[in-house]
Amino acid sequence: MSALTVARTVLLRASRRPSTYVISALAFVPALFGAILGSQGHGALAGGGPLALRLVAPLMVAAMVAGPVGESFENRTVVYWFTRPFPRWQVLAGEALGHFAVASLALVLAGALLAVANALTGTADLASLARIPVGLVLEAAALVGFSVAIGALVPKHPVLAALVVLMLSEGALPMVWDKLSYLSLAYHTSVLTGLPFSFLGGASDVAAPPLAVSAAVLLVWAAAPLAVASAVVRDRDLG
Amino acid sequence: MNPEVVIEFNAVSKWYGVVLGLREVSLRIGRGITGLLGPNGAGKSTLLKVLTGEVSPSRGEVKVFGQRVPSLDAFKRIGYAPEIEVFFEELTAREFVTALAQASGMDGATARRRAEETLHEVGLEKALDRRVSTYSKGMRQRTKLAQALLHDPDVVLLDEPMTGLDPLARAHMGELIQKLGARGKAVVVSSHILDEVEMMTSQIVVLYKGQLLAQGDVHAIRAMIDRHPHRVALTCDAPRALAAALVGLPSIAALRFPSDTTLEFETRDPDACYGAIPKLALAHNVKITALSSPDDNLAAVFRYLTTDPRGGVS
Repeated sequence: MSALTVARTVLLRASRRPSTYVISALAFVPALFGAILGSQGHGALAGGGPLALRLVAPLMVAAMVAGPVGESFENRTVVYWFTRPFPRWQVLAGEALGHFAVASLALVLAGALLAVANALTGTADLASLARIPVGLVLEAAALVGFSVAIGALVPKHPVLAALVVLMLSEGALPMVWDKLSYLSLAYHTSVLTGLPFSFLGGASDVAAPPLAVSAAVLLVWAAAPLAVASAVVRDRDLG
Repeated sequence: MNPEVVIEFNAVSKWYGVVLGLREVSLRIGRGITGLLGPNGAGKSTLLKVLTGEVSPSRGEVKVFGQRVPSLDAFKRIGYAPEIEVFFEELTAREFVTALAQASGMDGATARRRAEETLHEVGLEKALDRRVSTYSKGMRQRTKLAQALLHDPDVVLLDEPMTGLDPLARAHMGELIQKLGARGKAVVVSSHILDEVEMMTSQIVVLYKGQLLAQGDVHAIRAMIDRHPHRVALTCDAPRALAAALVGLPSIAALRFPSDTTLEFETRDPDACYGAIPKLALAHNVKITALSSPDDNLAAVFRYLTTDPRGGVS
């Protein structure tokens, strides 16, 4: 299937791009932050968890994904795919698949480092730590689907556009009204992983939904923007 | 027998907001090489983009082998080398072309074989495994051509394939394009380099400000541009004596003597003049050593059509 060809190409290109590794280095930041807080008795996960979910993950994925996808539309290299005999939506699906492989590795690395920081500075709860990779992989899927869509829809400033939306959904809106946390993909990732959503582990006033609901919300975050982008790109002029 | 119509534009218009890209363009292109000419902003790239589905026409329809474009079936028969100079820079030419071959529906082994074949065909056999980011302009142009030929398309669209090439590379690219035309493909070459296009083909389409000015054989088009009399240059041993004889012909518009041995005249009926010249030369004992028509060429036709495009020709 042509989407797989696109995905393999995305993976190969990302693996040869120095920026992939530079951006992935952000994975160390939550662990470092968590280690500092952990050594002060606050618990590594209390500080590092929210930092990873609400700041580092969105930044990493927006930069790694929205940027290159937007660039391919802006410099028209996407034409090489779009003039092949397969539908345009498969190009976006392939971009999402390829970038998902890279992003999920980076986020799982961030989670693993945070878990190590927690183990070194506090009590290691192995059972709950097993949930972290699964939750982060789902967060990666949500962020990648969203970022590919933003890259296709706002090719001139894709990273900025992605970060503005994410700042609203992950930061500003939940601060304004607790219940808007239900829109936040970081909130649902925190439900799945058991990592705290609020900084320094403060309790949330919203009732946590069932795990299946949180997983479904993340999948909607992945699929819905991609569906919208596919519909728009299908008939849009490229230049 | 009517030649096969491969590409068909029916009253195609394209607006970019208030800017007109194409205006009511209707044309038919068959097999062989067709030069697509026009100054910057004429609509050449827009015409190719409409053909490849990159942009949709605001009005009208485009067909390839009778199928409306864009369509997945049409894409199977179209190979396109766009004007862009950027590729998937992190990949080698082999990887880039192989990926596109797979995207064209080939299995892995066939894709790798076809990628190698087309890269050999365009002369990149020694640089297959170098990253595209290290390629010169000429190598990039050839890579673009290779990916356009992967699936052996019947229609090959080349947007400015000569840009940035040195003379040797241009000659090689011209040979490749001529081979494609000889193989019965419909090749449309958009170019500013008129003398290169003229070497490849006499079939041209001339666009100006989004409108079709002329389509057909360059010599036939020249013959129809009445408002510009034909220029004929003669080299002989007695130009003034011959001029005195020619001035009696009704179709002669002007006479000049660029040098002591050259006579240049303008005429609205070149065929009548070509018939009269041998008789006049014999009658006045003038020895003619050369005869040419300096403006029966693509550059002159292009200049006449685009500097005063009121009288379009088709």
